[in-house]
This record gives sequence, C-alpha cells and structure tokens, in this order.
Amino acid sequence: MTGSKSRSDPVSAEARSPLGRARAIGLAAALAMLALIQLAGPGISERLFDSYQRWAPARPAKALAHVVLIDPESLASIGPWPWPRYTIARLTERLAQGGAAAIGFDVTFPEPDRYNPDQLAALYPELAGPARDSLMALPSMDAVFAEVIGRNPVVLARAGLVAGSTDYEVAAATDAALLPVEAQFTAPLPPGVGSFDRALSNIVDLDDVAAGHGLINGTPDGDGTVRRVLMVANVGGVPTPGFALELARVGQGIATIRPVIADGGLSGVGLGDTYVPVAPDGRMRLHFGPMPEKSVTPAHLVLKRGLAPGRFRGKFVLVGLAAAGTADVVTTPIEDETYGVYVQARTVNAILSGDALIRPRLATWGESALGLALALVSLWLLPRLRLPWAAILPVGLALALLAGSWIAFRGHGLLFDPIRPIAIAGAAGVGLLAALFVEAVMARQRLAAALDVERLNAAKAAGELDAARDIQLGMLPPVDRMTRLHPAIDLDGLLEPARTVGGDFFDAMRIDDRRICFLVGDVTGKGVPAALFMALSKALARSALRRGPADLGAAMTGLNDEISRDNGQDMFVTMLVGIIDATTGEVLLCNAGHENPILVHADGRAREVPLEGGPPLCAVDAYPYMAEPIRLAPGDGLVIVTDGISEAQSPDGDFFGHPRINAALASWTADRPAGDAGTALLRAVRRFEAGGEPSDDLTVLALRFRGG
Amino acid sequence: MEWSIETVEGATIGCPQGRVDEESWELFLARMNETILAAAAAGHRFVLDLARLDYMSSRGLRALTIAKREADVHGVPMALARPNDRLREILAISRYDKIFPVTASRDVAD
Repeated sequence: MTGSKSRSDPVSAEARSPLGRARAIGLAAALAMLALIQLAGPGISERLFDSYQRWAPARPAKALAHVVLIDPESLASIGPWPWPRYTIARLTERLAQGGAAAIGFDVTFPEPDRYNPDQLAALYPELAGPARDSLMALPSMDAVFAEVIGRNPVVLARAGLVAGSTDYEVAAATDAALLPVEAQFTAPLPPGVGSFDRALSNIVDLDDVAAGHGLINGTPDGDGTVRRVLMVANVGGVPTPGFALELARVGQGIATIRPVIADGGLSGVGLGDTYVPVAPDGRMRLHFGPMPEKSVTPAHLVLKRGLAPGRFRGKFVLVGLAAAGTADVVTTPIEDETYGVYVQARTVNAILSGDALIRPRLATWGESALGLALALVSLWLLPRLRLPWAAILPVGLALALLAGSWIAFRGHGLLFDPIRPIAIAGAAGVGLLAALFVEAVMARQRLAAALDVERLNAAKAAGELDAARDIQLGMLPPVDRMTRLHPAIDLDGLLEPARTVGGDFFDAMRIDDRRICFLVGDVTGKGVPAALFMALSKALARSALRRGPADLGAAMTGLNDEISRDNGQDMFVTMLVGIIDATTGEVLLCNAGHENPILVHADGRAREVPLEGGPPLCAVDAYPYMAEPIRLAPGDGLVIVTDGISEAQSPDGDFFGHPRINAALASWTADRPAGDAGTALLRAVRRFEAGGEPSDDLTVLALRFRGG
Repeated sequence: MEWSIETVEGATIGCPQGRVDEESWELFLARMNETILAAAAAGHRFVLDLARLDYMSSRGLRALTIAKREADVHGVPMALARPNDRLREILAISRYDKIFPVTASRDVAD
C-alpha cells in the first residue's frame, strides 16, 4: 500500500491514552502529597527522629556532667526555697572542695537575699541600739556568696527576654548590652542566630564575680517537646553563650568560643578541640539519652559530711531545682517529663563529646526532590513491571530508605526523613494504580455497553434478516402453480436462503397457451435493501415480460433502464430469462450477467449452454441485450442456478464448480420430476460444504420439456 | 485485502491482493476510487492488476461497476489485467469482460 501514513504525536497520544491519564493522576497525587506534607509541617519527621532516639539513646563518650538536685528531700532537710545565699555559698564551697571543674547554677539570683542583715533589721523595727548595730555590722549573705563565687569556677544563669515575655519589664532596669560576658567570641554571630532584647540576670554583686554566664532559654517545639538547646545568641547585640556551652568552656579553662559560619549562616561552634554542629538559629539538636543515677546527687547530701571525697572531681556540676512548684519540668523526645537541669547536663556531655544530631539545612528540600524523582521513576517503571516485581520493588525501595535513614542516624547523627520521599512516591504509585483500576473498570463497563449494543444490533439485524427472508420467500411463486403452468412443461424451483439472506429470486408465468416465461435473478447485497431491490427487480421483470415481448433482448434492455432508474444504492442484479414454447421445445434465452443454463438430457447427461449474454442489469446503461435461441428435445431439461451453488465452498476453499453441478444432475433423468434436480444439487452442495456456513442463497430452477 | 499502487509511464496501476468479498469490498472500492483520482491528477489510465487477487464476489463486481462510473466521470480509461482462471471465469459469467478491457498481461493493458 502506498501513500503517506499519518503519524500522531506520541506525547499527546500518550496523554490521551488510559496510561497517560493514569500517570498524570499519579503525578498530581504526588504533588498533592508534597503540598500536604508541607502544610503539616515538620511534626511527622520529628516524631520519627524522636523514635530513633528512644530506640538508640545517646551514650556520650564523656559523661562528665553531674547534677546536684535541690529536690524535695533537700528542701525538707535544709528549708524552703529560696535558701539563704549563705547556704548556697556553703554548697558551692563543698562542690569546689570536691574537685568540681565548674559549677553552674541553673537558677537565677535576680534579687538580694532576703536574709541579708538589712533585710532582717527591716523586718524587726523594734530592734534598736547595739543589737541593731551588731546585726547591721554582719556581712550580707550575698557578699558571702559573691566571695565564694569569686574564688571558684562558677557559672551563673541568665534568661534572654523578648518583648511580651514574663519579667520583660522587670529587666528594663538593666542595660543588656552592658551585662558581663566572659566568653570571648572570635567572630560576631551571623544573621539568623537568635536574639534577645533584654535579659533577666543576677544581682550585680554576684554577676560581677562569676567566672561565666550562660543563657538558660529552652524553648520547646510547637508540640511542647524540647529537642534543641540554645548554644549561642545575641543579648542586646552582644554574643552570649548558652548555659551548657559556658559551663563546658569554664570547666575546661578555655577562653574563646569560635562561631563557624557556612553559606552566610551559623553551622557550628568550636570550643577548644571540640566542634558542635548547630542550626543557623544557634541551637543544637541534642541527642537525648538517660541521666545515670550516679550522675545525680541531692543537694542536702552535699551539705552533710560523709559524702565520698572526689565525687565531683573533674565534674561539670549543675545545680538545679527539682521540687514541686520550683522545678523547670520539660518534655523531651525520650521522656514525657524531666527536669530542665537534666537537659542542660546532657547538653554539657554532648558538647564535651562533640556529639550532636545534624539536620542539614536543605534536608527538607532534598527529601522532597528525592520523593518527586522516585515518583517519576515509579510512574515510568510500575506499568512496565509484572507481579511480584511491581510489589517487591517499591516495598524494597521503601525499606532501603528506612534502613539508610537509620544507618545515617546511628553512624553519623544525621537526620534524614525517609517518610517524606516514601509518602510522595507512594502517593504517585497509589494514584497511578487507582487510576488504572478505575480505567479498567470503566473499560469493562464500556465493553459491556458495547456488547449490549452489539447484541441489540444483532437482534435488530436478526429482525431485519427475518423481514428480508419473509420478503424473499413471500415473492416466490407457489410450487403447485409452477407445476401446473402447462402440461407439457414440468417446472419447479428451490431457494435456500443463506443465514444472512442474499438476493436470489426466481419466477415463472404463463404468457399464452403455448409460452411460459421463467427467470432466475441474483441481486448483489444482503439484507432488507437487497430484498427490496429484488422485489423491485422481480416486479419490473414480471411487468416487462408477462405479455410476451416481441423482442426479448429489447425487453431486457428496457428492463435494465427501468431498474437502473430506481437504483439509489448502486446495486445490480444478474438475471437469466427464458421463454419456452411448450409445443415445440424452442427456448429464447437472454442472459444479463448470470450463470449460463445447464442442458440435461433425458439420460442425465448435462452440459452448459454457452450464451453470449451481457452484463448484469444496472451495470451498464442502455446495454443492447440479445435473445439467444435453443431447442429442447422431449425429455430434455434445463437447469438454472445461482452462484450459491457454483461458488459454494468446501472447508479447503475449493469451489463447487460446474463439473460437480453436471455430476449431481446425472441422476435427474427424464423419469424424475423437476423438483429432483434442485434436491440433488442441494444435497451435493451441502455434502461438499461439509457443515460449513453457506455464504449465499442457493437457488435452482429446473424445467423439463415433456414434449408437445 | 491488501492494496498497493505502482506507476508506469502513462498508467497508474492498482494492485489488490487477497480476496474481495462481503468483508473487504468497501475497502476495495475506496482504494480504487483513490487510485482513480490519482490517475486523473496524473493524466494516466487506471489499470487494475488482478494477478494477486484470489477471489472476487458479486460485491467486488458491484465495486468494479461503481469504480468504472467514477473513472468515466474523471475521463480515466479503466482496464483489468492478469485475472487468474477463477476471476476470468467470474468476469466471463458476469459478462464484465464485455464492460472492461481484460488482458493477460499488464503491458497490453498499459
């Protein structure tokens, strides 16, 4: 076949295909999942990282932090909080004597001690004279505490305040920029680091003598869980260390803190030989672990004699509150409730060990991009896979991501969220499969609908075919009328419609006392249109021939013109017409594109009667048909068939053909009635077809001249 | 039914292959009409080379009639070439050999 073939655009063709639509839906599902995850915030990732910490809590290499807890027993033993600064000074001294590397107070001392002599004197106005003078001559508790602080490596706490926070107005009296900061920062803190306008600090007497100051702010995440601990921040524009960092600095005798900056933001903090990764806001992600019992001592035991010497040697001691109403209770990834001072103690250990969790700055974007990449691969690959690989591969990939995330956490403290890419790629896969499933269901429904239509059409066609068959058979002349047309002529016809109904017909009529006209026709086409055209052809033929035309050829030419005039569907009809003189046996034949007749002698010998003939009616306008005479001897028969006989096919594809027609008619001898010719041919043809479906009508018209 | 077209000097030749019957006659007619239009555009004769056509039912004959009318409308001479024995018999029975020139070789038809 030549000619250019149209070539459709493969992309748009795919977009229109069911698979293309399913892939588009899968991609939309992936994008929707990405948007949903973005809207949900980091909560899902954080909960996974919390789980990691519960499954594998931190085991710091240097567990040097030690907590001295002002617990309920201590309050019961010493007295209610706040204790006199003298007591706290004694506690500090004991810790220093115990060898503590640094002592940090996770509480602030913003007001003078209420037990100071001037405060007591004010409480007793009746006290006067020498007694009052003696009282007032005593040193203040704050002075005593300040003296102890000044002699030992003590770090005091400071709370950064932003507008609107508790104590913000109280802190207004202090210029935050002038608060002492002992740590020396090697560089200013870059933009993005947390900042406080003011700070709640300690009374000047204490602040001035402390070895260090650190911020104790511990803001929880949105879900109330503390996951990050402040390392550095600006207070009144001055770089200030976090409490744990400052304690670690003082305890190691290090003077400087090195902010490490990457891509314009803070990425870590260097302290001596250790490096602690931090987020750009200056907070460290703490890897939480248990607080060992041996690292905690109740304060009242410290104040009593008999505690093992060296218990605090080299330790970074944090003093904090743990009594009801005074304690800073927080939630962490591994505990529903714990003391704030424990969080700071763990942070000290983490700093000393250089052990912190790292969540890369672009981790979220990377996870989303990985999710989208996997989604695209899934959309491309999944339709190409067969089970079980279509299930094994996605599940295996998800497991690999989970395992990779776990290994990154355990091996390097890296926090990589596998849920995000799995969810995005999973949404793409689920969207794709759901769309394909819906598409398959719809396709089944369409097929079912098409089947219904087909059945309906088949039923309708069957109805039409029944109608066509009724038309066809209803037009055939009754057999008894044919046999009684003339005593010298035995005439019979047989028509076996095919299942689909062709357009065969035959007719016979008496013209006058001597002559009988007979004809066999075959209309191209099938069904009702062919049947109606056949009816028209037969009616016009009967009209043209019933009065015995003087010139049969001219009558056929006229008939051709008549039928052609009403032939809207470009059909044509083959027709063999004969007029026999029953007294002489002379026959005039006119053949319009039909099979030639077969002459069967009285003894059964059969041969084709060659006729010049012309094309089928309606094939060529104004064709000059001719009548051709033959003569039958008494006993001779004439058989006219349609192509339903000559072109009947065997299962091998062979045609029945004229030799088999002649052989089948050998039994139709002069002593047999005309009807036997049709019966013999029908039987032979059906045997030849061997059960195959006949494709066309089968028609036989047989005539025997008995003699005049 | 398959269909191909060849062009020789002065003639456009349509070459059907297979069978023309109830299933394929519409395609057969459509291809003939297309080829007749091509022949008309080229100022050629139209030759239907039947050498590779195994069988033609009365539907095919009807298609030939319609194609002949189409060819007449466009002033394209139409001829049949190289029918096999079966087709030659069909053309003879239907007397289509009286409507179309039928030749044993394409050269003569050309």
